[in-house]
Amino acid sequence: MRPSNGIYCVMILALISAGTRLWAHHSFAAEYDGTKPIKLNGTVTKFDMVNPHSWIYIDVKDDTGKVVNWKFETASPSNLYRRGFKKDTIKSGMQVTIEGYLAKDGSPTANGQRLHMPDGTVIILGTEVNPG
Amino acid sequence: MSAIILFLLLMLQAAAPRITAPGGGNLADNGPKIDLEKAKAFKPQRTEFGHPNLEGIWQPRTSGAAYSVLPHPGGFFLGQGSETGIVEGGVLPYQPWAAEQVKYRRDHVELDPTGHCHYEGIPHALYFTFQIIQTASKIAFVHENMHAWRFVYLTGEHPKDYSAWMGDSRGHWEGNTLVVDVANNNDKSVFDMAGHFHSDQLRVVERYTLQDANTLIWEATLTDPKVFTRPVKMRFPLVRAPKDFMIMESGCFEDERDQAHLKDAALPDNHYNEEHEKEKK
Amino acid sequence: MHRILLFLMMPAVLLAQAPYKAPRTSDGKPDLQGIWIARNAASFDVTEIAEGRTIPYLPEALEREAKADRVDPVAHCAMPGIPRIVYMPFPFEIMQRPGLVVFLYEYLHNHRVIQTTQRDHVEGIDLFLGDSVARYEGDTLVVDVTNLGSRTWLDSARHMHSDQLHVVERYTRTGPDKIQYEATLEDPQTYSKLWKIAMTLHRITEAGFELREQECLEGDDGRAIHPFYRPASKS
Repeated sequence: MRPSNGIYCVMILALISAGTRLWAHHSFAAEYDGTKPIKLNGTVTKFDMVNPHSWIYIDVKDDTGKVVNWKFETASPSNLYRRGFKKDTIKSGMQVTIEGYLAKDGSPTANGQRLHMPDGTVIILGTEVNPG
Repeated sequence: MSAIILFLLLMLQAAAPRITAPGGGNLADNGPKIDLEKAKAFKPQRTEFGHPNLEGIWQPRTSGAAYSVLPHPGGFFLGQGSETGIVEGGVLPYQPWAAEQVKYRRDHVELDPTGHCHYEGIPHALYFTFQIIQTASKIAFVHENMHAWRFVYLTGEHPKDYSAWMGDSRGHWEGNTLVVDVANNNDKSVFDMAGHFHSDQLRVVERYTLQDANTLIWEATLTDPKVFTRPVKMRFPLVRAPKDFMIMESGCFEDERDQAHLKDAALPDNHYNEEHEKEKK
Repeated sequence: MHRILLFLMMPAVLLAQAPYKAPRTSDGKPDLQGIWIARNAASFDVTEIAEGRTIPYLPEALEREAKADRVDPVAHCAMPGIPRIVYMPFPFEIMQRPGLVVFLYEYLHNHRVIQTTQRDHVEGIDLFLGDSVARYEGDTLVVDVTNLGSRTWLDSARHMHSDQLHVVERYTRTGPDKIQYEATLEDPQTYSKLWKIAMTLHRITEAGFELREQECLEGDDGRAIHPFYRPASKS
């Protein structure tokens, strides 16, 4: 989506000032493939702001018109909250683009890293930003 | 073939542990430099009941101990890596059978207890922000991760017939240092995600000393005669959190949806270095 | 003659009715510290401690409840919420420091570290134990709790609520070993009006009593395991 004013606003200020250590509570390296980055555009169907990791679900249409529901794993609710990402920040029906890393098991699952909002804002989704 | 050998040699080279000078220095790469002499000379503020005041929210600087307490490369879900790790000497002196277990656990990541939302234990729970609250008879450590807490009792003895994920902690003051003896540990908590485990014989003696008003030093001696060949020393600094930082709620029970993707999963081969001290002859 | 007797008895009667004055913490607040426990059946059914023994449900809320999931969230190791964690049959400890009151619950190692200085509630996040802000009103600690989400039950009898639930708790020492706990609950999507619960919290006076680790693990079959390590003897 083209940002309305051409400026990306990265909402990590609260995060940097807090110096919060973020991490995967178990090995994401075993579950996701660092050599397979993906970037998908789709319509939000669900956002579960749950512990230990939140999940964003989007319907993605492929070239044939077939729709697949993808799920993206994100940081925990409290860490999303510190970045300004609240429970109603994204809503069903919103068009978003999410960058992440593909799950190794071939399912439509990825580890979410960056969320591009309709207004051009970019939100860091990943569990790993500031090693402590 | 020679390319493969060269590659392996390069990997081994990168894997060579860096031995740090004993007794000083910051074992973790990031964060303030530990200066034990400065800490000895520092005069901390005291609570109204006369103890050194360690209260506040502390943010550890372990450079990725949650991934591995030993030196490890940076990379995909490894953070920036650590040249030193938090273990003095850069090796964990596992007995041969235990070293095999570590390898097995790395090949079966679905066994990692943190992936099953299990409690973290000491020192694992200390790799993430926590809050210290003190009274004259006990000190509370409150953690955001796993909504954990433990008491360090300044009175009483370790209970018998009791084993816990967070163990049982009894502390006393030695000068300006809080010394904590953690016993009653179960064998289920782990040190990190790299397969480094311990038995129920683990005993951790921690030392908390303020180096200055905003820097806390954590040191510990770990013994576990079942898995280690000798005691292990660990060390890292912590910095005081910004004034408006709040410990928030965090749990691990609602929807651990990763397990379905972890069956027969193993960590990538070059993810961690092989670093166990060979059994001394 | 009777009048003289009554006159002589007055001071005793007045004294007997004078409210208990709790000792003070080092910064002058009513001292609530110690290990406390509820001894009632509210964790089974909260109406046991409700004013009028009833909950003023809106009819549509009762219908929603009838159709809802029948599995108690705590069976999956979820945090019990407020006020349920206060009357779970497990001890908890209160610590007070200048500017803070800390609740450390044995049940599932839950905790609340609460500011006693004014701040706004957080917005846009549901928390199982809610967002608590506290203040002292005379001898009473008042805790205002919002952001409770909708996933907790008030008890195991499946009394539910919406994410509009607002709980105001009041803790008042009424004796050396007693705290009077009262809470008001309002939820415009669930209740037709504000309602109250009240109960006594009892101090655990057993010498050497300490909280122990109480954990809940999801077993392989999806059911919770509650290993509980309280030793039978006091050793």
